[in-house]
Amino acid sequence: MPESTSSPKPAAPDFLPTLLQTQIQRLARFSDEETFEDGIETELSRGVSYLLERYATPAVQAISDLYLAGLLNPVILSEILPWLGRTQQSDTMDRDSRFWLLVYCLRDPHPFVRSGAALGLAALDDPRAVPYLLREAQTERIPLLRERLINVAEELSL
Amino acid sequence: VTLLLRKVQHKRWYAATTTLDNPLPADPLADLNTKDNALSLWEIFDDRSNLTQVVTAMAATMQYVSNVDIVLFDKRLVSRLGLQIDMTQGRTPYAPAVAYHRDIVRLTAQALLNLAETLRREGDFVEFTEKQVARLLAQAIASGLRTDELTDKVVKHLSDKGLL
Repeated sequence: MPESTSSPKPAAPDFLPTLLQTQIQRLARFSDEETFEDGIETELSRGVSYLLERYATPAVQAISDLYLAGLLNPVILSEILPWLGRTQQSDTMDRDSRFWLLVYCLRDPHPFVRSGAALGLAALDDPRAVPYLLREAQTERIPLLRERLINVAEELSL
Repeated sequence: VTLLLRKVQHKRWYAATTTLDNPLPADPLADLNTKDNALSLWEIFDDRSNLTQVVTAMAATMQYVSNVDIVLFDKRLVSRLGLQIDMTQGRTPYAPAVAYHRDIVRLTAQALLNLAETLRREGDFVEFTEKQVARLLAQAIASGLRTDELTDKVVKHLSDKGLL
């Protein structure tokens, strides 16, 4: 076998996921008193967008792990999710991990999380989300949120 | 019917607009913050022909490109509630919309509650998606809005999306 001439991509250190989780939890804790307004930056939005752009998939994994462990409150999570779509994705794997986390969050019991997931999918601009958005819209009981799901689905279908 | 527009976050109104029989939840009040007892609004023509101009005006003040959630309501509701509207200059770099800005003035806490109650029952909640907002900003730039009036993040977003 000939040796590969391209240098292998360095593996992420083992402690990176834990480190990123700690960073995200710290941002979330400091954001408890922040007021969130669309289009206005906060410490949370600045911090999360930095981590997502700098670390990509491991940062998405950290958010995912914290979410599945129930360690992010719904208000904070709903502010984080749109940034999964808004920030630059490093590669297909990174994009896919964001996509599936957002799709998963469309079924969260808390409406703020479902709303944030819809905004994240809109920003990610991936038409694969359309059937998932429409499926959730069928059972969504909050009219304003149902409208959001349909709006995003229609836009991604164009 | 002339309309008034207030920028809100729809999620704050989810509970309030879903079950109208329940008492008004507190979250909507976060969308009705006042300064010097005045509430900032925009006036929209009955045919809504200046709606996108006003949304552009609000978007031009944002630090990053985001969806814009609004609620529209009949201007007559304000007089019905015994409130007064003043014409004031809008703070936005998008000049064509500056003249549409209004303030409801001399508000009391009770009047604000009445307004929130009215909005949840009679308001028309409309969303402009992030993509629509980006397009509106790009059109505004094409027709004269200077990019140095926007944040670097907004300009980069539009550029990355191929809109500049």
